[in-house]
Amino acid sequence: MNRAEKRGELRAAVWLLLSIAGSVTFAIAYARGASAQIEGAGLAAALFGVAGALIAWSRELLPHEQVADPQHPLRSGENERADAVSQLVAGAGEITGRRTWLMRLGWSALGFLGIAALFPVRSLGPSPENHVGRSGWKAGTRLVREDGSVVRAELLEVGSVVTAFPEGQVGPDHFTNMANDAIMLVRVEEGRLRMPGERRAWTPRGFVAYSKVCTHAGCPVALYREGPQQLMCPCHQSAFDVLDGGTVLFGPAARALPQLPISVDGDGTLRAGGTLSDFVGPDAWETG
Amino acid sequence: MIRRLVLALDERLGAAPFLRHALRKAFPDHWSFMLGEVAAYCFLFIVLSGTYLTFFFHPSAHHAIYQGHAVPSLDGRTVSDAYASVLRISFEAQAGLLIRQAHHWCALLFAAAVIAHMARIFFTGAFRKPRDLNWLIGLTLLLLVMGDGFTGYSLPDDQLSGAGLRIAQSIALSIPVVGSWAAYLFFGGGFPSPETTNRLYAIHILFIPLALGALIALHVGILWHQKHTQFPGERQRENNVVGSPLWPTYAVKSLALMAATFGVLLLLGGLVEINPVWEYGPYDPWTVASPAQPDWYVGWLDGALRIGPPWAIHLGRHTISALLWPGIVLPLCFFATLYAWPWIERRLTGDRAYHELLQYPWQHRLRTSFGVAAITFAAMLLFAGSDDVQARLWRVSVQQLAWFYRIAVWVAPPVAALVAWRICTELQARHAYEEDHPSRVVLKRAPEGGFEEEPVPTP
Repeated sequence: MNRAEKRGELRAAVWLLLSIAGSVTFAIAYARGASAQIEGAGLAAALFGVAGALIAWSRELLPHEQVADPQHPLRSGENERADAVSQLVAGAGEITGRRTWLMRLGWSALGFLGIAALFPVRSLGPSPENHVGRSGWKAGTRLVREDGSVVRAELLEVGSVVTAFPEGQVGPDHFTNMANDAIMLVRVEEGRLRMPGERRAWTPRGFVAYSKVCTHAGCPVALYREGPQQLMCPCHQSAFDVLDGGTVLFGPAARALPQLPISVDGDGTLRAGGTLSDFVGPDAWETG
Repeated sequence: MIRRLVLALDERLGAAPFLRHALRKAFPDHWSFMLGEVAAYCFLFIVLSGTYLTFFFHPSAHHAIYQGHAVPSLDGRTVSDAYASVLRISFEAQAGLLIRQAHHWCALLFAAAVIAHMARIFFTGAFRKPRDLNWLIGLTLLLLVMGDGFTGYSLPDDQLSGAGLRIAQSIALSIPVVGSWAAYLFFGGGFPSPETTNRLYAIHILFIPLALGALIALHVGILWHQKHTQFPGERQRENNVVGSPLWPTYAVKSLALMAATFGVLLLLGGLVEINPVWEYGPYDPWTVASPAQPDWYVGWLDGALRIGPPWAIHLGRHTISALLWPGIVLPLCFFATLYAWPWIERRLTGDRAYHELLQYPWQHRLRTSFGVAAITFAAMLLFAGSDDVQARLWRVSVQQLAWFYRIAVWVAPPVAALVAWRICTELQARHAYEEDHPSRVVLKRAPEGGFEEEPVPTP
């Protein structure tokens, strides 16, 4: 054994010892309930040890031989190619023969089978008919928080913001409804509002409410920026104007946020003054 | 023992001639050939670690009350069974967190290895006939890896994954005519639907892995049959493949690579926290984490959504959503171009020949420039996908950054392509010059006493 070989064996041995140490570390760490960090480091050391040893093996203990395989184009001889094609065509010809009408019937049967096989797909979900973009807001519905508590005017100062839902539509059983009905209720200084004519009555005492579902890709429009009075979507950064009917100020959204008319009772209870001004969420083919 | 096994197998299968050839099969030794192997080992690791995780995970939207001391902020909260089971894997199953995190890291590395391998194949022209078939399979593998990554990312039912699914559902809704039906049938109703997690699970652990396994077998089978490409060299010619024999040299190296890949994944899984779903919280559709980014291989699509134009088209009672362009049309065009590239290049260059020898990127200006442009395009989209983070970091407005990327995504690729073209031209000129003026010469002493120069051809 020459000196280089001895050095290689020594190197491989050191790596293998590291590997064993790693495995033992992992086993002890596991048994003693240690953290993922120690477990991961142990297992990684065990594997790096094996890798290091194998590299030492291939570099210093194995011959550095090179072999050459012949490489030919895979294309077959002309006769074989022609034979293969003619066999395929001849076979197909035997199947078809002159049975034109039978062949047509055969293809039709396969077509019917394909269509029949598609029927179970229909069971995968309900029809989207009239459901896309629908919300549960009706005129007179009280605004409640996620926990069902009623939203009251006197608790909200200018600059505050609340995520609200229609009363009776919150809790784990109404998960899907909550996703579509969530609104952002913001209170702003009344004088700053620039609502278009018919919407002036929708914002008593500066209470403005918009759907919280982004009209771009459906994320919650959860970021309220009081300075510029914007609602921003954290997913794709569309910005909507709080003061001006939820119009798009910037970003990929193509449609204003639907606005919910608000009314305030004499005792300060907030209610929906009507339905949302538009359908909720992203555009779809049917939403018009 | 080995002897008896081989002889017994040969008696039953006639395996000896195959084995004799297979063991001495030549594997070229260039480092870039290891990228595909890393991807293959990632597949192995992700199946093993994923199988372990399936023993714990509950793909169910049923409500569960989380009772765990590991995450005090969530103790007593109503969460989905899926989310609760991910917390159990992470905090109650010893070594569960390590394997879950290594599994997630493996998904990221898997996609990276596939893309790096693809870049190697592309820039060296390895996709040319007869390997254009394997280019198609390889691209399909990339799509499957991305799909498996996204469905896996969506399983824990946490805040981030829920937002990602909502975006995916919105993209489905944007498909003209059939979009709503497609979304309702796939998700099992409106969003969020209690059916979805279970469906994603079946796709994530059964359908896509099966397709991956079958296509990887086909991919490697074709590679085995067609043999490797190689860079030109002193011995390397069109009509041979030079390299280490599979047994023992190459097998030992490749096993080392496998052990090292697994080691890196376990080190990352142990030391570098990934997808801490207990920090994001369970998915409530009306709340959202910020900043919100998907895993990196989906990031370019998210970036496309961010800088997409707000172009919705209204056709009477129908709408074509603005999401259609960045969400459906752009990825379709991008991948269609990649699928078609071997044939596009054939058309543009008129080169329809067999190629067993690789080219260096500088040798093919057109291909290299196109590849650089495509990578720059995807990179710009990927950067756009984190514009909110960059805006915070560099203290500029996110609107300015979005505009920057809206322009850069169309300007940067042609600029990068021009630069690549220029560099290729320079390198071609230099190589041509060196061939005419060999810098290396051998001085030979002639028998009669004088010296003469003999050029050494540059490889």
